[in-house]
Amino acid sequence: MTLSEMTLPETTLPDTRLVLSGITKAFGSNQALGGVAVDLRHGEVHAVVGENGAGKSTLMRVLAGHMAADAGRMVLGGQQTRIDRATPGHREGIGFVEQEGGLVAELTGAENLILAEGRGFWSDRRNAGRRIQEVADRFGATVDPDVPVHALSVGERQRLEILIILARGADILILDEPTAALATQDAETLSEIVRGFVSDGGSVFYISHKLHEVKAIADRITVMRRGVVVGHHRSADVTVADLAAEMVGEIDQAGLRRLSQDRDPAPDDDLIEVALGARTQAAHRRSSEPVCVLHNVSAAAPYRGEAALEGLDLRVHAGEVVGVAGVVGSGQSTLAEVLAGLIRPSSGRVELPPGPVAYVPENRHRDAIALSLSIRDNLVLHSHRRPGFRRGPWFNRAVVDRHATEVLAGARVLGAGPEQPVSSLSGGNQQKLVLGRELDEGPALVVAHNPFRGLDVRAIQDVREAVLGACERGAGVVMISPDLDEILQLADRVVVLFGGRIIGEVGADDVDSLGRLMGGVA
Amino acid sequence: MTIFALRSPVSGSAARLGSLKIVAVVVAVTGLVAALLAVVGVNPLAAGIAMWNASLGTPRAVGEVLVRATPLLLIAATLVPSLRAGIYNIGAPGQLAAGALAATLIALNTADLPTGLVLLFCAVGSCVSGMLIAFVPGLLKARWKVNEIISTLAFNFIVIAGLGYLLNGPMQSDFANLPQSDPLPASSSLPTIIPGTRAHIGLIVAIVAVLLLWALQRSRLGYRLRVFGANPSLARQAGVDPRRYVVWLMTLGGAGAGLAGWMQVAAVDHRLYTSIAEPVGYAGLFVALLGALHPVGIVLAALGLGMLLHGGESLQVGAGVSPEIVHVLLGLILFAYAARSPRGAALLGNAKGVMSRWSSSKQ
Ligand SMILES: Nc1ncnc2c1ncn2[C@@H]1O[C@H](COP(=O)(O)OP(=O)(O)OP(=O)(O)O)[C@@H](O)[C@H]1O
Ligand SMILES: [Mg+2]
Repeated sequence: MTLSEMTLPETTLPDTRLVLSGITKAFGSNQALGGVAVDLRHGEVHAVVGENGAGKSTLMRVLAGHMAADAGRMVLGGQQTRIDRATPGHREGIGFVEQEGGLVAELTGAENLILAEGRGFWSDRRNAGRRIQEVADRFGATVDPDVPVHALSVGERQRLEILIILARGADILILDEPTAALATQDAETLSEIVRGFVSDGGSVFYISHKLHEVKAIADRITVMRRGVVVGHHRSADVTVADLAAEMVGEIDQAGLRRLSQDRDPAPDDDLIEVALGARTQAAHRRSSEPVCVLHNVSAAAPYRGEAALEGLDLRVHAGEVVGVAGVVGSGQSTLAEVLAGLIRPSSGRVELPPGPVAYVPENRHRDAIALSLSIRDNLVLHSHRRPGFRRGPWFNRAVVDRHATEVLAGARVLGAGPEQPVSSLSGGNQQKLVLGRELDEGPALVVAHNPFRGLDVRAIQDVREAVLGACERGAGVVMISPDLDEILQLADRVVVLFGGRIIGEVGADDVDSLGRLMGGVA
Repeated sequence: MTIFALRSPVSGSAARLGSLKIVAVVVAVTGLVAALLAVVGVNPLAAGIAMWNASLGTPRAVGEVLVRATPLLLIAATLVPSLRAGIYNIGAPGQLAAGALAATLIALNTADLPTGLVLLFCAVGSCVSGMLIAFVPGLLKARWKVNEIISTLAFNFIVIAGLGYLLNGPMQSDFANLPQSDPLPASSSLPTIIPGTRAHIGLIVAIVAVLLLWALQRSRLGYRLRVFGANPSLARQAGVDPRRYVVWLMTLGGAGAGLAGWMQVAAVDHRLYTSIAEPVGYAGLFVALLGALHPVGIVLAALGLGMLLHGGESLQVGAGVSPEIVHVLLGLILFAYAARSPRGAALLGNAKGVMSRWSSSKQ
């Protein structure tokens, strides 16, 4: 792909709704955006892809007015719009579903809409629920605007959030990794809403690391790398392998050249394979030694909308990856927290390994990082007890920082020092930090709940290698994910959770019986 | 939070805007107070000068400021760890009164012992009783999630009422029919540290508390507290038992307030009155907040408040103004502080949005 082949944004087209050009943004010495130009037309889905930290979310924050750009121009609906200042509230007509999106969990959907509109006393309280319902009907989505958000599943929340944004009135919708935590079924519902919105004349910026999904839903695709646009394609003209290669960039020049000659990915090219969803062939051997046994375990669910465990049996052996499949809300979070030792079961027997348990929780911001603290503070969560890190009662900063830098480098988190707040990391880099921290302890058991959430192709490959490495060193791995493909790519065997119980087990190649089991048919 | 996230300012221009806001607030508060003084017929400038002289004019005056600042600083220093964790122990008045009561009882009953021992007993007694009063709401919160704001507030009423009963009954002084105790024996007085002033060794205790608070930042315990404050769910994974931390943090605040009670009664009042906790109790919390929960900040805030409190008492003499004007001033400062918080900023931001909608709809 050469520069001349790229379609450059055509500002003159009559159906152009938005043009961004020359957008730059630096955080200290970190140039997050270095002169980015993109445009958005009426009735299209424009996808933005790129590695973790490429600047996708930052670009969208500038567009939505959450953040000021250092330089650049924005023409919205034919009008020059200022971007050198953040706007209070939201920019008219632009709805932004952020990466770590969320609603106020204690409020209902209708109340969240009222809150979002920010009219306070003057808000239209009585009709809020009905307005959400109307939008839902228009796009054929089901939603209950009158139950508290915390009683909804992840997929329902996501849908509700989008509908609230649409009910508030938006003709540009920004979705930042909307499917990262969704099960296949929910992702399909989402794409139907997106299609409906676009066919009504709306426009969508769509960010995702799932390249197949991007190709299926987008009309055009822009590829970013380290703050600049490196590729611009019509979706029909590009392959997933092309996209992956372009994202990864110069590091993989060899593979790129190979790819531009023949379209088939070379079999030894790991990254491309990951992008294509290939299965990692594990070279390790499972031993007969169990590292963790759950016997007839019952435990209360940590939150509403999640099933409690009811007499669950599970045995995890050293050196194996057990995938846990199932419809979201079948007790996955309860199981994960029991395995991590955070929920004490009400009955039954839990045998956990004596060594450390690595826990990668599903909800990163709630359970895995302290957003207001520094990267260093987040990294030493477990290791802060190590004797070498202390001098008397105090921390030995030099040693701690050396360790932190090592973990960051190992997890390939670029351009960030231990002193920085963890909130300045991109979503994917935060996830890498969590994985790096947890696997660094030499765990005997790894509990990973949706561990690939928000990771780019290369990071997924790194994590897989790290997990398999832990396996080889004798750890047992429990991998929970709503995405069946992710499980099948890594697991040795798959158990299916339904209503807080394991209702069956299949080998990783028996996809048919897996589908039946997930529906609760034993 | 997506849709209505409150975004913290990051850019340099935002920081400039922040300091500009502080200046604006200071000017506004000063202006309001000056206007208020003018309304009641006092020359604001004269009042200002009187207050300045009264608080910093002589070494003795400086000593008085330190005497006022000491208990505030001690309470603030012990409250900061819990406030950082989002635990609002507003029971300092009750805990302080309990500490003062214990010190009084001990001092009145150990008059024959050597000073050193009396001081030790008083210190330990007041500290422990302050801790006990704070421990109960802490336990209630840890066990049954009872809101600590309400329970500590309730304890304030209970302790002060109990004190009223004792001072009107069993503990009432024989010489006057007033709610006050007998005078404390000389052996229980706190030694002064600056000759010619009333500044006492309590100041050293308070400074040690601030130094410990500062050292906490870099210690392991401090780290765990930080994680606990930022994300309790995460702290659990670091081996922190949230319930234990809640109880300990509450109790720590009680220790500081109890000691402050001892200092008030043994170094300043020399008798126990029912008004012992006024205004020190709540003002300690105020100092912690105003000092942005930072060791240096609370030192500055405590000194500033000490100046205001002492200067206010002198206003009566110097400018013929009732000292309550200081309370008005404090109220205004607290109000400005509250408006500075993100929530306050959101309110202001919202008001701006409503205004602009309103003005555009009028066109
Ligand atoms: N508030 C901030 N302060 C400092 N640096 C920031 C801030 N927000 C983002 N960055 C930096 O800007 C760069 C781009 O981040 P951004 O969040 O846009 O990445 P992204 O492309 O969305 O990545 P991901 O796929 O992981 O979500 C990163 O290096 C990040 O560390
Ligand atoms: Mg992002």
